[in-house]
Amino acid sequence: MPRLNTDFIQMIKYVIKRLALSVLILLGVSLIIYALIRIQPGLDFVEKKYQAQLQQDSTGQVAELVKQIQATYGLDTNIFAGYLKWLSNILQGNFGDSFQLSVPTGEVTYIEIIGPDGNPILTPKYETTSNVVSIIFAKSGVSFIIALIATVLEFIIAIPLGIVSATKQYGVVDYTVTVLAMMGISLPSFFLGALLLKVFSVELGWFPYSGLTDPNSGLPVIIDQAWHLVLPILVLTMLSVGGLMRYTRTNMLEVMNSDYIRTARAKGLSEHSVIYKHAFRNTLIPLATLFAGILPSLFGGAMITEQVFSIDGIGKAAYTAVVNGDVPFVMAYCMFLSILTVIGTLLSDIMYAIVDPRVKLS
Amino acid sequence: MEDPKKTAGEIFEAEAENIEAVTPVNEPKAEAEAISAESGTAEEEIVSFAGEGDLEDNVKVISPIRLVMKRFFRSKLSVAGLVMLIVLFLFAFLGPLFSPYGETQATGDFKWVQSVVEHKITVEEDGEFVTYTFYEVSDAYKVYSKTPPSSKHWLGTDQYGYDVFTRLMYGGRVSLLLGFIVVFAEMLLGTMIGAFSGYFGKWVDQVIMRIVDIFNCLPSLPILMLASSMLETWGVPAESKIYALMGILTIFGWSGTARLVRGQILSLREQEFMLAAEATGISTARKVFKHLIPNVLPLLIVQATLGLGSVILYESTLSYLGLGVPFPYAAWGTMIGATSGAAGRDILENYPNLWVPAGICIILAVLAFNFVGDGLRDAFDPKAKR
Repeated sequence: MPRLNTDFIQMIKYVIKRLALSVLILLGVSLIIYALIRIQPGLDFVEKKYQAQLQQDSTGQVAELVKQIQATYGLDTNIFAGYLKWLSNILQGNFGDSFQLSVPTGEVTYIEIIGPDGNPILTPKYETTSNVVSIIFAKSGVSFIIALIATVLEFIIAIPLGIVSATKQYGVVDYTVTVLAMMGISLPSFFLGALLLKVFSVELGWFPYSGLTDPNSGLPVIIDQAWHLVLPILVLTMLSVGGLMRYTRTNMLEVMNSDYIRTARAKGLSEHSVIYKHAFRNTLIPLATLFAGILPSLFGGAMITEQVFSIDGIGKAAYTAVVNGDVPFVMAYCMFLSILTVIGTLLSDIMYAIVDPRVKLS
Repeated sequence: MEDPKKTAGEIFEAEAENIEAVTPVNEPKAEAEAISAESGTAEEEIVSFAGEGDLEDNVKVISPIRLVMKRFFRSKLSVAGLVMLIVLFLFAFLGPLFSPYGETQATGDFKWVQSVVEHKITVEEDGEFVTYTFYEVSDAYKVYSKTPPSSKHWLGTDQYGYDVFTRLMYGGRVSLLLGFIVVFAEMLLGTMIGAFSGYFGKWVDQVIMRIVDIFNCLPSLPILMLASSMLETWGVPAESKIYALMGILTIFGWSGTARLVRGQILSLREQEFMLAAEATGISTARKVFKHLIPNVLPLLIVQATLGLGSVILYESTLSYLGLGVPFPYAAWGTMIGATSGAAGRDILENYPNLWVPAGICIILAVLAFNFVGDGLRDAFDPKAKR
């Protein structure tokens, strides 16, 4: 907590300054991403989408429509003008529609259709939207659940291991944990995913092969979905545990070498209370800042892992959007990630100042 | 202000004294250090003591580089990493010389296949409808079958009839070469920009650091995917795509190094030896390249070694997605990429010999670089015990 009023004012000033800088950074980021998408001549998704209709079109209406869509997104101009167009759309709160994705809005309208017996039947029509913000909200749900469980598991596993490994430095436990952690860092997600599929899904048949649900499983929907998510969560956890474990170990070692630990030992405290009462709490300082830093990985989805397990999350959506040149969605997704990163960094800096009274924001 | 020359002279004198102090020759102090070396404390690394006798013969000074080497080789993990690296390098660069197969030489089992398409035509003949059936038969072409490991092909052959073991070697060339060049370029670019920013400070620093912030904030995987699909649409030929990939990975990878170097330079700039360097009146370039950058070098070497692992991971991820080094050239990521999607299910389920070795190679390479980098970090750290 801010200790003094002046400190608090200082912090507010700092946050405002940082936010102003963030806007600048985000402008730069968006310009680079926009240029990268637009620089690719072969990826005009709008024309591709309407190609079949364009060829059959004799009245010129479809060509007109294509032109209209391109004008809306500034695709008919050069890159810089297009970027300004995109920016002005965003500033007006108009984030645009994805060229290829759509999600149900949850609204249902009933349309009367004359049935075969001549009586009108009310048929439900599920409304969909292609608004990029709605898509991001809808798709990031499952990604968030996977990432959240994986992150919780990561902290539960990594922190105790890191501490044990630091207190028994260069011991058998330390070496084993270090090697395992390094292997975790070195694993490519797609290989680990394929390997787990081969072992647990194909050979042992314990877990389903892909997707989120299986109508033939006969399980309640929620358990069925959880069952489908076990392997992806396992992949994400295994990949991230190593890094956090090593981070904890390094911090713990640093703390264990400090003077107050020597003092605690000199007082004749038991090793247990030295480690868990004096050292461990100070190890938490750098860890606290991590909580804010994991923001992008919590909400941003895992492109590769979702691809391997064909999970319909935001990562997979982003992957198809990138591959197909879906300008509005790629822009929205990348900006979403960048904003999360900016906020995450700012939060972790503030966290640091809150947790560690020696740090002053300036 | 005092005469700068005089100040410099004084400092050099002080430094000379210092040197004498660390190089103890025939002084009572040396004896003390030598004895403490015998009892196995930290001084052991500076002075070694071999038996009784004249101290002058027995005290020897170890250069910093040898000191680092000594500490490095003391760690089992770093030695293991180094051995793994050497083996991988021999495998990738010398291996193909001993392989009877080429990278894109189809030598697997194949069948001659002719495709037959049936056409039916009904024609009116003399008031009757007669149906004729035509068979359109193509020229015979080879269809290679995936094979399990055998004595001829140690890891079998893939769906194109290529020898997997040989392609594994060529894939290693791609990953290792690309990793080294990208990391070297990143370090060069990052160090230049970081040193420039840190040394000149003020608005130069402000501008450069904001650019670094922007690059740090870019979501790396989507950006790399966009950039390499850009290469595809531009029609970069397959054999030169690896160089374009190197460029892309460098452009989006230098910012971390720049930030690191800048931070180091900022703190080094304020130290006394820089004041001394300033006082001798040497040029700015010499100050930066002779005095500042060598001091950042150990950190850079560690950063580079650890960075190699992540560059290899990015490259193989791009290859996995089909955006890296294109077919028919081999890359570890591409070999695993054959398992993705519905089409790859057969390979994933039935032919682990096609993709598991590639994955193991990636892990080994990244792991080896991480081990070596970790070992170097500990070896360079003067505070490290043991």
